[in-house]
Amino acid sequence: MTRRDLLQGTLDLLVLRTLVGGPRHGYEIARAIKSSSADVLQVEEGALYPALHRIEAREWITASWGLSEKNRRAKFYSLTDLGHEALAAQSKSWDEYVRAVAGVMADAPGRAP
Amino acid sequence: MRPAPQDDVRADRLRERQDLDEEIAAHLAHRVDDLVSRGLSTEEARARARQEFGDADRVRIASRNVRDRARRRRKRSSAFETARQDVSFALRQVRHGRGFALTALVTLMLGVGAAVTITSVVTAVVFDPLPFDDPERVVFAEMVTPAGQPFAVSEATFLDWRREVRSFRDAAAFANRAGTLRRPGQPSSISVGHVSHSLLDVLGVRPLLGRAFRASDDLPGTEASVALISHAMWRTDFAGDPTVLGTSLDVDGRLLQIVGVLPDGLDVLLGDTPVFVPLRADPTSDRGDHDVDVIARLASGVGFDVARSELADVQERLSRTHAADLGWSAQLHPARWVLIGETVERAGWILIAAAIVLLVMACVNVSNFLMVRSTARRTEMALRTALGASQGRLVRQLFTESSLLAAVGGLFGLALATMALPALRAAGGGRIPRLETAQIDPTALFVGVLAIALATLVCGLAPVVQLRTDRLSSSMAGRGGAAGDPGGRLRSALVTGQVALTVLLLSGTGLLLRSFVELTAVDPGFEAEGTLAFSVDMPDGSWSFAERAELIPLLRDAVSSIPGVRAAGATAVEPFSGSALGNFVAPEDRLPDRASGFTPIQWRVVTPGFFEAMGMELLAGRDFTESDDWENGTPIVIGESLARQTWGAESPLDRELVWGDPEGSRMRVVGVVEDLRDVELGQVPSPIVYRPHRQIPWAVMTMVVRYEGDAAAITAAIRRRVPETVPGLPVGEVESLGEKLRRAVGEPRFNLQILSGFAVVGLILALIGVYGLTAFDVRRRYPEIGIRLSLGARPQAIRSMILRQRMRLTLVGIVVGLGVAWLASGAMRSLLYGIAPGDPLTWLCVTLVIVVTSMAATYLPTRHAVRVDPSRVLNG
Repeated sequence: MTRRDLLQGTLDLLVLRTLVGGPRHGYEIARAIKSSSADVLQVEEGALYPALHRIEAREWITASWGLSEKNRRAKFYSLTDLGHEALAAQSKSWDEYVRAVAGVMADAPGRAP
Repeated sequence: MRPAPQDDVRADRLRERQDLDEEIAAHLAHRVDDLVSRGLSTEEARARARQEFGDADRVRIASRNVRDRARRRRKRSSAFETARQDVSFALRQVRHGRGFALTALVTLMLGVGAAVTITSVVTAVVFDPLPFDDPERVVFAEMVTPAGQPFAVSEATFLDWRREVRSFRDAAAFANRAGTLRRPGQPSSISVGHVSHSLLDVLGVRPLLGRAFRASDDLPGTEASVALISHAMWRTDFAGDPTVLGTSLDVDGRLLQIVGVLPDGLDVLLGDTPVFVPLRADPTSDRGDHDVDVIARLASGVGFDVARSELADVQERLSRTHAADLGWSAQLHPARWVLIGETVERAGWILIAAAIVLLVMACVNVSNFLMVRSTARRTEMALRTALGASQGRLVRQLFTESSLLAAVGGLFGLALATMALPALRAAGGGRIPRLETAQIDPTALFVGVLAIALATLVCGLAPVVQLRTDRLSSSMAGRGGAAGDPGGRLRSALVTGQVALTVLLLSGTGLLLRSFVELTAVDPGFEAEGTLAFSVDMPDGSWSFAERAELIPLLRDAVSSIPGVRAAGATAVEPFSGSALGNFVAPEDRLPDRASGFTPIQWRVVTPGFFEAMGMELLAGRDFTESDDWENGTPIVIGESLARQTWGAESPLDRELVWGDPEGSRMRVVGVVEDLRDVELGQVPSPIVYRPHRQIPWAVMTMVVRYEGDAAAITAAIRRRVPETVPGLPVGEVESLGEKLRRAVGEPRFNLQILSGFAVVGLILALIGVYGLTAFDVRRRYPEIGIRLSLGARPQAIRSMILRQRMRLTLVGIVVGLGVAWLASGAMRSLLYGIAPGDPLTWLCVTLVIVVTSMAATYLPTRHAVRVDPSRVLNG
């Protein structure tokens, strides 16, 4: 199995998606992305935190300190209303993108019927 | 003391740094926990976690950059206050929605503005009731010649009608005759209205000041001693002085006492005549002198048809008893029909139809854009619904947004109309009756508000409809993809419809434009440029026939000697004055035994040199000379159509025409001139006879002067030379005939200007519409385009693919539009001159304009699309 690096922007989308279920801290977010993509998508921690802070600055998520399930202090991120809307919009254009790619690939010459 | 901003930033950064360190520590701690639970030792787990995390400093720098940028943004917005934020947000919205808000406002402004403007104009010109009491009961009665042409009435006939036709509650006669108004300074030649005392009663209006004429003022055989003045004269010459009553006016050498001032608005009937005197209609007058117009009010309970047949009966009896009326009949017309006319009314309806088309286009455009935007906001709506917003709440929100938009757009439209109306009033140039009264009246305002309400409703409903469609489509979401675009077909239909409406507008304008070009190309039969004209008045009381016959040649010589003057000559009928003298002639060699077999003609008295001054070509024979007096027989010059009509290809020279009736005088044709069109350019020229001034020394003559050089200098020389030559002679304004000619095409030009304005607005709306919809469609296809590009499709190929698809819609629209235009063009027939409603050149041009416009509207968004960066698609 090859592991794929994430394109910029896609990471934001995935982070937002991960937070739909409720507030999560950074480590949990990284693990959730990895596990829900069956280990295909690898989030680099070095990229995750700047991304979180960027999204926070856009007010799509808010952060607050709390205790994790392991009873450790951790910073929890949760979606704001704005974040919900952004996620919806981004998911839609992502869907279109995927559909368009699929459409073009289906049209592509040389493909076996 | 408050810390400096710089310290603030530093403190923030420090806090963020500590925060991040803690966050990283927490991350590592969790990772270590995980790894330890998988069996690693604490030491191994720590090392592994650190290694996985990589360079913490890099993360710190990246995070600090992110936060610094956010800080700068916040700081900027606080520095420029919220206003700046709002503006940039609005601008972003506008940019983001592809000019959505702006476009919608412009669209509504144009649509509503056009509707309000045109309703105001058409209401004033066409639909406003005439300024009379119960105007539907006011009628015009006129004579009809044996040849079936409408004609003026004689004073004796008018008196008979007034007495005998019981369907008339009352009748009045009026005629404008030239007069001389003498005030301190130069006497001036004016038009004096001779009116029956019953006129104001018939119209059902009261004088603004003073009284109307009484029956005792109006007795035949008496001298006029009282006068009424027009509202305009009262305002300008007497500065609205309320004590004007009792003032004396010197008209034609008699002192008349002003007894009343007419109310405003009567100019629709009486023109710009300033002074009115009693007509004193003479029952013994010659019934062959048709010189008054007759207006009447129907008796209560009497229908128009009853009155018409009674008038016909009365005239039939009169025609039997009076030889001069033999073969003549009488006709009745509603006052509206005479004073406003069918052509103007038809033009009014066409303009209203054009305004409605524009309004519909505007509403379609706006609801389109709202629909497009609501598609973009579909997810927002869906999410809000998911978050528990009620359907009613969403509808209310959408409706509020739409109403706001429509209301503001509508207000802009009213503002536009407020600015457009004065321009239109000026463009009408005095040729369109009652145009100057046009203002944004309550009716127009009502139409404007109605338009706004309509737009609001359409706009407000569109997104809601979309929302419902969305539910439906999301329940079928599995089918997905391009097929699942329910709005696509609707949008295509809208593009097609819009193109069709624009074609309709452009066709109408094109036809008027072509017809206007034809009309201005009409040869009026004379050279209007390089001529000046002024009238001189030698009223009966002051000048005898003999004096007039001598004075006019003197005057002509004086004017001719002015340097720069090439020719001068006078006529009794001022060109483009709209007045005409009628009579009947028959050739001596084929004389009918009754007057009814005679040909109706127009006739004019002219002096030698008139044809030359007018630039009319002498086709055969000679011009008059000063020796053409009674001693020399009765020479006449005739127009070419009368010559052709009477003698065909044979020479008319030295043949004789009989004047009026079989016993009339014999007149010898000495010359033939070009026909003249100086009444209505678009009409076929009437047969015409010219008679020499020497024999009929008319009182009011218009001197026409052909010149080279500076008009102002020559005008000044004329103004100086005339009083020197004939002291005390009243002279009117010196005017250019070219100017009069241009005024004569005033009404067609006005129609053209308005409709052209509409066509341009329509074209803009269509451009906006097609552009907006294409842009939206293209944007929807960005992912597809991006992929095609990255798979190697050439931008050119993609561009022409989209262009082809859109042009197909445009062509369908053109075909539909031309079809409708063809069906509708019959309605324009009476407004056209020289071309058929199905003019192929016009339609070709319209098609070209639309194709080019539509291509431009499609090209712009496509050009943008092929620059799509595939990775942008990824980011949304």
